[in-house]
Amino acid sequence: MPTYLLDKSIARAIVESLYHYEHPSAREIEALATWRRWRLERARLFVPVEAVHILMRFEQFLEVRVFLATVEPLESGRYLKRWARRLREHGFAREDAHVLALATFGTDRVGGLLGVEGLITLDQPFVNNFRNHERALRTRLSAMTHQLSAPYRDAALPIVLRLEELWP
Amino acid sequence: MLTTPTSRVQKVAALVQRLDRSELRELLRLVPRLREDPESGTDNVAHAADLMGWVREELSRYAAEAQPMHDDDRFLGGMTVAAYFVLPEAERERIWDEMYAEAIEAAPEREIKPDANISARQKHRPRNR
Repeated sequence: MPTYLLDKSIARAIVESLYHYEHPSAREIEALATWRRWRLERARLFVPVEAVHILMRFEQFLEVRVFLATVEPLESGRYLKRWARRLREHGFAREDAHVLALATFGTDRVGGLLGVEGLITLDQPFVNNFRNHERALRTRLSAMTHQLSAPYRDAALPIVLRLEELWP
Repeated sequence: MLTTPTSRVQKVAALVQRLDRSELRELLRLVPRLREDPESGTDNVAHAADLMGWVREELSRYAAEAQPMHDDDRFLGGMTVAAYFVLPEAERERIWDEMYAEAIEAAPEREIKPDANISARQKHRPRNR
């Protein structure tokens, strides 16, 4: 089962698209079609727990409730903050470093998962920065995890994709 | 020798046929116009209608538990739904960013089980230790 972390831009896009679903823009159609495809392939979808908390304040709304029913919160696992600090040294903004570290050291509600396969975003500058530094990040992560215990020593970078890059 | 439009297309097509999945993604990123099919207007309408039907079904499953947003309901940023959705994209994004930034400040770390699930990609990555 594939595992994806949807950043807050994707969460926002899907909720807003659900509000407009009867008269969607081209971008909203893309967001909803991607969400449907994930559902049909039974992907395990995660959203940063902080974004889930924001949305839970509005779960009385159908559009929010339906979206939340299809995702799980991804919570910060041990070493996340240490890795996020290192990411900041590669030019990632604080929130971008947090979400990328979450995709690497995040876990589910029961601590039964380490990281996800893919981090999906709408943020092109973030994707560009990741790709420009990917090789250095892999080396740096390997150096950091080398002496950690299981499961942390197996932490790995996710694939980072923009929504429209998912299915060419 | 002159190259006709048709033969140019055939040459490009032959090249594209040899691209792998990641190269195709890169090509689509560089030439977004390739996503647009000028002859598929009917298909697009059918696709959108099919998608709307699916979304309607998804929403109906939770209709007993929650209500659709209405224009005068309170939503993000203390605004009404109507006020929120007329904001420009950048402003809606800013509201989310502010709320999110506050939330990640306080995010605690938790232990992960030693036998936690690790994605196939992580398990099969090259080990250099």
